[in-house]
Amino acid sequence: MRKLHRIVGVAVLTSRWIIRQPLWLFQVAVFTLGFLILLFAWGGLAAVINLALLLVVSGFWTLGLNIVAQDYGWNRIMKLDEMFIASPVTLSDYFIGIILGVSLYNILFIASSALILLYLDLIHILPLLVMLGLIDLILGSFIGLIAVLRVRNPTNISAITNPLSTLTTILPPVYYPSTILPYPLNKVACIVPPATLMEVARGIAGLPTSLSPLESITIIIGWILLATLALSRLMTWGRE
Amino acid sequence: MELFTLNSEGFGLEAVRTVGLGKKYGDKWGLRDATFSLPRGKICMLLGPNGAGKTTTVKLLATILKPSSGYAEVLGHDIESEYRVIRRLITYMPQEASIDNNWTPYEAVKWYLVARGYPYSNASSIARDWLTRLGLDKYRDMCGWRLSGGNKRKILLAMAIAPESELVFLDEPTSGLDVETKYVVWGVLRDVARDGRTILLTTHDMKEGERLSDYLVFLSNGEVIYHGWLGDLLGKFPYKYRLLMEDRQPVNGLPSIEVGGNRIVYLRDLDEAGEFLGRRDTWESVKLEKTSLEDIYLNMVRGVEYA
Repeated sequence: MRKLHRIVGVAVLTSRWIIRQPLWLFQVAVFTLGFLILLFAWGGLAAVINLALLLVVSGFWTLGLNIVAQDYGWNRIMKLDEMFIASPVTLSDYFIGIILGVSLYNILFIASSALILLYLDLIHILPLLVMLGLIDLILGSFIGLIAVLRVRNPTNISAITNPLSTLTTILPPVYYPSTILPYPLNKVACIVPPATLMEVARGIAGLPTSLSPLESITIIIGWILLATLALSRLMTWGRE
Repeated sequence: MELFTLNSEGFGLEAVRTVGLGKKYGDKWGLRDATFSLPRGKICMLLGPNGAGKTTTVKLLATILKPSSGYAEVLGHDIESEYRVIRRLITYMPQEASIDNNWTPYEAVKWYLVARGYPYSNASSIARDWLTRLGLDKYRDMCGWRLSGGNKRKILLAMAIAPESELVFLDEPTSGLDVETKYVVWGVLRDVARDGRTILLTTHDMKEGERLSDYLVFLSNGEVIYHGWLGDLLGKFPYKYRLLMEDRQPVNGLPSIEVGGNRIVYLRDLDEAGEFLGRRDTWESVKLEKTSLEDIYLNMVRGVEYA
């Protein structure tokens, strides 16, 4: 019960900036609507299905990589992390608390995706998408934190995580199908976590893929192991 | 292991005990070979100029930093092997911390209490109580961006003292506060200590040290140069008055120190002061004052000189 309190305490404090500045959420809504029009106009129905998938899968990745890492960095700048270190709050409480704190974004991503999937009669795949999104959220957070923990000056954090987020979602086949790339580039390009998970999502939605399910699972397990190992070596909770 | 120490009020458990504690940043020592102990249930102060090692000491004891050498116990627990236990028993207010501008004072204190494991209803009433005691009740639901820097410091202070921690670490909690607010904060800290909780506070303000502390640790250049009871220290200092003169030259036969282009002459009593001033042609640029903790510190660090 106390662990739950600790997580909720961190989550509520983290969530304040989203609640007080709801225009951030409005930005997500505008992004969804804009891309819906854009992708339908240029790519037809398959592109719209892809949008519904990437809203959850890539949205969660960006949230983990960019926002969770930036929240941690912000707490470092404000020295608030030290108040949490000198308390019963553990690293996992703090980490889960931050993820839950920014989950208003997740809810909006899921809701936007759900509306599109409902219209396309694909709503049954939403639970699987959310599961993939959670994997992406955790992986994104881990990789974001690994980058953040190597930054000596925490004011530079967004200068690292923003380009990293763009690089990992715009260049690899996340917004576009991997099948348009020639072999073996189509497989190599899918090594980045959001692209791998999008391949799984596309497979579930019945869209063409370049990776087999076994290849996707192997890559994801590899990333989880690598990120966990790197983070466990880098991440300290006080006592630096 | 419980340790006992003899102090001027009898026996009591120690809040902190360090032996040869040190922290190295690269090849430079931030704190070196620090050995001292602090009594429980008192206001203890780490005093020293900027860069003396005060923050490093507090961060080591609050388990934010890992020591490079030595040993320390906080509330009877080893900071190396029992840091998780220590973290449940302490609170810490960092020196340059600030609350998030999107937090209200009430949210900050309440949800920090919840994060420390307090049930929601208790956290609400405790938060309200401490905000009232610190004069923040009328700002309770205002967002951080509408609050002054001083009020933000008080919110952090409320976050640090509202949990019923046995030991409260406060790193320069009154820096940037106006005089009136300082008195409010000092009053609250005395109440906290009266409840049997220990406060370890850092400051470079010697007046604050003299007015508030029970027990002192003087630091200079990363080393402990004195630790003991304030009363004992003040009682032992032989000079009761000082003359602040806009003159660099030493005075014949009297101990003095040159500080920032001025000379401070130390005198044992008013008779000695009268005798000295009687010998002077003019009293201009001379100010007679009672000696304070600042003079004791200067004497320790600089040592007096005789002409």
